[in-house]
Amino acid sequence: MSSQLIKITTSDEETFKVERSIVERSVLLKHLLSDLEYDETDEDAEPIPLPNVRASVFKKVLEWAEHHKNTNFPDDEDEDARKSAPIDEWDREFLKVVDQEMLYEIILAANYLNIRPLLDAGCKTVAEMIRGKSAEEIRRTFNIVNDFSPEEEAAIKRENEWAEDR
Amino acid sequence: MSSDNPPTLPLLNTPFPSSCKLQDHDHYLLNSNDLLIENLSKSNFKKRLNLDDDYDDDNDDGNNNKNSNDNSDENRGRSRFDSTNKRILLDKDEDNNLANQIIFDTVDENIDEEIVMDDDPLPSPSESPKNIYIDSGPLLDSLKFINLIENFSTNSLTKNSQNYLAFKLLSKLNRSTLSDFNNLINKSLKRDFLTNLPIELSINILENLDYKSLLNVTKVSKKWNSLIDENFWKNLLIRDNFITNDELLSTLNLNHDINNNSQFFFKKLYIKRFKLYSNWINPNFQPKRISVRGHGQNVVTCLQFDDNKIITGADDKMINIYNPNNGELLKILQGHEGGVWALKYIGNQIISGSTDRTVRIWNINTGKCTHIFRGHTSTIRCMEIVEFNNEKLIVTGSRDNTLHVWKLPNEQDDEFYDLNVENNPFFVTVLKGHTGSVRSVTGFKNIIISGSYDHTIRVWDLNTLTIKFILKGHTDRIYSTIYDHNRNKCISASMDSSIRVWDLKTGECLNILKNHTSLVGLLGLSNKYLISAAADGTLRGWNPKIYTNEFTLHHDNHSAITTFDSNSNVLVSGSEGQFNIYDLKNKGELIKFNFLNDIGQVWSTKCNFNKCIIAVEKNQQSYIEILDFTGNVE
Repeated sequence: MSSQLIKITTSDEETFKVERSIVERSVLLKHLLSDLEYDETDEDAEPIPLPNVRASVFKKVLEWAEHHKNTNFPDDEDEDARKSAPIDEWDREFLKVVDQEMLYEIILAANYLNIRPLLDAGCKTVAEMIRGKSAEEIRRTFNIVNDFSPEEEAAIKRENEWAEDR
Repeated sequence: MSSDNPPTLPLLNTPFPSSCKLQDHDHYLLNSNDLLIENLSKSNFKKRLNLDDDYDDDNDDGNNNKNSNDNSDENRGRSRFDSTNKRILLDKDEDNNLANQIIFDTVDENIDEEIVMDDDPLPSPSESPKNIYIDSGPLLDSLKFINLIENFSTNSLTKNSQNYLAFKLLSKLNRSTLSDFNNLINKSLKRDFLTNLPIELSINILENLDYKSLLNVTKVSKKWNSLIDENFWKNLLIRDNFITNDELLSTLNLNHDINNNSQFFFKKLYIKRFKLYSNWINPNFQPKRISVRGHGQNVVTCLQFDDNKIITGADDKMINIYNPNNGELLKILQGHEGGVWALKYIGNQIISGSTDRTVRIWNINTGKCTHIFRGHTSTIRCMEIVEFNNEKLIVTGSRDNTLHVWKLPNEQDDEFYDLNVENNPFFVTVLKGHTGSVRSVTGFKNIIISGSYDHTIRVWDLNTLTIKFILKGHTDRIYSTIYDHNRNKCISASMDSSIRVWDLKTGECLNILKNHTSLVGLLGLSNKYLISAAADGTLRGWNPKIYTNEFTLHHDNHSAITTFDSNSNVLVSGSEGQFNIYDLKNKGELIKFNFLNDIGQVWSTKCNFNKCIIAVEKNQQSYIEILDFTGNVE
């Protein structure tokens, strides 16, 4: 049974054994597997190295992929549908409970592994952390220093004034 | 203590995270210093601290948990010692910022309690428990020891071994301490996503936000401000269909200004269009309505408008020009000897076709007819203007079964010409082939598509002046055609109740959409939808790529839809006695039903981002209705 699984080694040298259908959620790995003509029935097949993803992050990615094993995501080409779709409820919970560092690394991993739906969910999660907040609240959320001079701040305020609701 | 309580030391039996697991190579010191270890192990700390176990674990057993389990009592005592000392260490550490405060407090509060509760021999030789932390001798030694471990671990241990050590220490902390740590750690793990992520991902994040949030984003920091530039707003305008292709093209000429960020053109336009759209879809918003008399008792057949003019053509042989802002009738263009049934304007010129068989060119500024083109032998029923080889060409379709192609005269050419085909320098060619009336014509560049009452569609190439395809399949008259030049397809609507999609590479019919139950008279194509309207009283929205039926809208009196238009975001439609407004961003959700309840037949409607013009019949009189959705949007 284990010989049916694909071996993947993360940057911190942990080796995972994963079903092909799960691995292929990553377009990068899907192409890699087909380029390498990877044969998971071969006991001695070399693990695929993932130098840009560490084990804890990869574990989260796998957890996501496992959950979405049977999900049909909207057409990759259909920017509109992808952008306008709300975050999947499970994804929202999944990404809400991780700390910002992990969310950051998941987004980078999804981008690197080319997993469009996870990347979109990650980006939308960050967007939700920004939406409806004042600049000061946003700075607090992400621990950002206000580097505007008072003059610059006033200029931006003036620039936006006309757009505010009257 | 109830067994339901959570464990006091939550991490104690937790498997090590992979970054804290020891690999084979972690068992060897990076800078081996046996002497140091020997000294340490010989020191009198060893016994007091029960450190032998730790060293054994570290060196022999990568998984370590066995020992900890067996000696949990001992561990607890030890961990308290470790943690309290660790606190002091942190406390002394100048680099610690936030940590200082909290840890210091914890020490103050808990020292007494901890010591009292501690069953193990105190890790200090001092007689007075209260003194252990201030007794300089042992304290110094503890600190020395902790510093030693810290230096040693950072200098000599592999990354994983350091993590392993840290996790071991953590696993001996109680819940409250962990909670404090957790709080601190979470705070310290905050990240400036938009600054740290690759720019395309930051843009992806920002594209999910509404404009109000985006305006707040511009105030966060210089970096965040720089992400939302004119290009960003421009892309939003395109994404949300808030700008027409023509407008976009005209802004290309402004491009050098835009790079200078002049006046925040795209930003302002986006917010303006967003607010206008909000007015359209707000059921409580009342657009300003102006009603003006139209063409007597006659049917208005043609309607086109922009911000400066409304132009109508009617069966009374007249062409009227109105001011869209106040409804004032500016000009009446008189000349046609029959009803006007085809009309388009471009720049400062109106081109009209009539039952009098002539095509006429008019100067909008002067209101004068400049050219009469004769040639058709029956009513001109449809017209298209295409730009090809840097020349504007007029294509007219007629009940005489032909299409005529004419060059559009120069706008400055203000002399009057009345020209027959024989002496007409503007005449290009006649497209012959149809065996019935030509009812619709559409084109782009050199390709012209005509639909006829002979049940066929013909595809013509103005480059070679030949016919490319005769599209056969419909079983009744063709009423409307669309040329989807981006997908190289043609869509046709027929009296046989069907819509067909044709591939213009091969000429074959790709789809037959049969959902309508009566004559399909009207077709429209926007970025998001192909829209059809039929005599069965319904409008249908189709996916323009795969032609699935996305929505169906019913006029409740089942009367034939006579007209519709869309600005890509809203859809307006008219039938006998009914005028409705739908939200196209929301799958055609009905916004305003039977909006003008005093009207009879709706003949024609057109809309742009801020206005909607409707030509209607009211008490047997023709009226032009202007709906202005501007409200307080500047």
